Amino acid sequence: MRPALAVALKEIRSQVASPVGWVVAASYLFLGGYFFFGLVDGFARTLRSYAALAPTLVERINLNEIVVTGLARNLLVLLLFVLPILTMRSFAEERRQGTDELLLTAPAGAGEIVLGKYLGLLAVATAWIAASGAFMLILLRYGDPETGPIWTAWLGLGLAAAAMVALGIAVSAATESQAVAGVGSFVLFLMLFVVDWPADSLGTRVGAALKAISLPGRFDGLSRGLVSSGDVAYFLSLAALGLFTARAIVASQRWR
Amino acid sequence: MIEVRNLFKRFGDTEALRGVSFAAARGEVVGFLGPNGAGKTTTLRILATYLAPDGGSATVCGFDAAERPMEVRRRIGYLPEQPPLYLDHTVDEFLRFCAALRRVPRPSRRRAVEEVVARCGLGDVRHRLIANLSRGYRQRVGLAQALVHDPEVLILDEPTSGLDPQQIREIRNLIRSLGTGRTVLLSTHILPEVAVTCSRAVIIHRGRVVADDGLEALGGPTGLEEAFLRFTAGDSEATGVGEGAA
Repeated sequence: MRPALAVALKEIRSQVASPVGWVVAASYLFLGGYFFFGLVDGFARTLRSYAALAPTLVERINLNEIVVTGLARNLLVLLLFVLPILTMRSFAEERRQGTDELLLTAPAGAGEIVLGKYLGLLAVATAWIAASGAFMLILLRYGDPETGPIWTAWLGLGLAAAAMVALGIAVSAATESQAVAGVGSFVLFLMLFVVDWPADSLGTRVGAALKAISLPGRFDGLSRGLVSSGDVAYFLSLAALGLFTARAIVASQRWR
Repeated sequence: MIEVRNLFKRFGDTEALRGVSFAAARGEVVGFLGPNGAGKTTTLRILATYLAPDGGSATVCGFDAAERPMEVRRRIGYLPEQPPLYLDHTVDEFLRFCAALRRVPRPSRRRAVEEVVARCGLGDVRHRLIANLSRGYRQRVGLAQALVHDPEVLILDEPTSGLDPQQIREIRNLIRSLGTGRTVLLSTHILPEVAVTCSRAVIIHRGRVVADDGLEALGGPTGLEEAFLRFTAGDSEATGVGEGAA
């Protein structure tokens, strides 16, 4: 465990010291704020027009549905863009710099090195996601949303990050180039977002399977306050898949 | 301490090692000589468990590097050809990281770093970023990371390459001072290096050991160059893969 912890702390330290990490975090929060503003503004305008035209329907307009769920979905899309930037360095850069020789000849084993990388990068991603919770604090200060769905939506963002970071690390382990790792993880994540698009034209069985592995589909319930064990298991399985793949790739490099 | 037996390794169509065998006893400082591309780095990487051999065996302290890599890793300090350094770390941070990575227990970690900083002459630069250090200092940090867990066996791949004469002398003195009882295997293509620091030399050429003897038997410091040229005569480019390729 000691080496894994050392690697995790090193990873966090490198991210904190790197301007790239801060630029990405700032971009994530800036765009998040932009979406938040748009959603709140849209909510307010909807409310005004309903109040003027159909006062009886005002009750039906739900702050949670429009702003909380809407923002969580937008943030999920932002993660699709920022997490590859976070994970692309993880192994590709070590290999290019030759520092993988240090990690892989230490008495740690591929599993511990991968776990360390994962914990470190997931901590950074979690910090970004937690920081974007500030929008919800603003909402709570000036509105009265239900807090339950806020918690589940942010839990969903965390779970999605847990899955995507693991997969991103696996992609990074497979290449020496950061750029290839970045593009590769982006394409992989994007596929998870759009995999169910042809679901309706592919027959019920295949269609259902595609819907079952769609990341936004699994996120939908969480973003609306519904926690299902199936959805949680989906994200955790993806994370496990990523970690095992990464470990297998890293361990196999000795046998080149 | 180190025993390499009939080691084979190929990369694609290139046979990097074609039956390399040699041994180093406890406390010996062995020079591993050969032209660029001879298979030095590949051999050291196999000993350090970074690569697995295709055939033959490499054992360190009685443990097979391919089958019991963890046992080997606990006992070796390894300086790869390109020193593995995190440029965004200070010397101190980096060495503390290496100590933790090598499972030095937390209570003794600080002392281990202090010792290795003193031994490698890094006191003046320990709080500087590695990115801002000269090549000589970086090489010393590379040596320090290989020593921080006080290993029984040291594997050093071209520890003086790219340094100026002053720095080379410093690193050599450092290697010589590493103490008795430690087994050192040091690769180089610079002959005086071996003459100054080693008691024995193994010469490798095109993936095969062509000479393995005490320095005196190889002609002493002055005759070494001749021995080297004699044993490595011919085209040395033919097997130039696997050396230096990261």
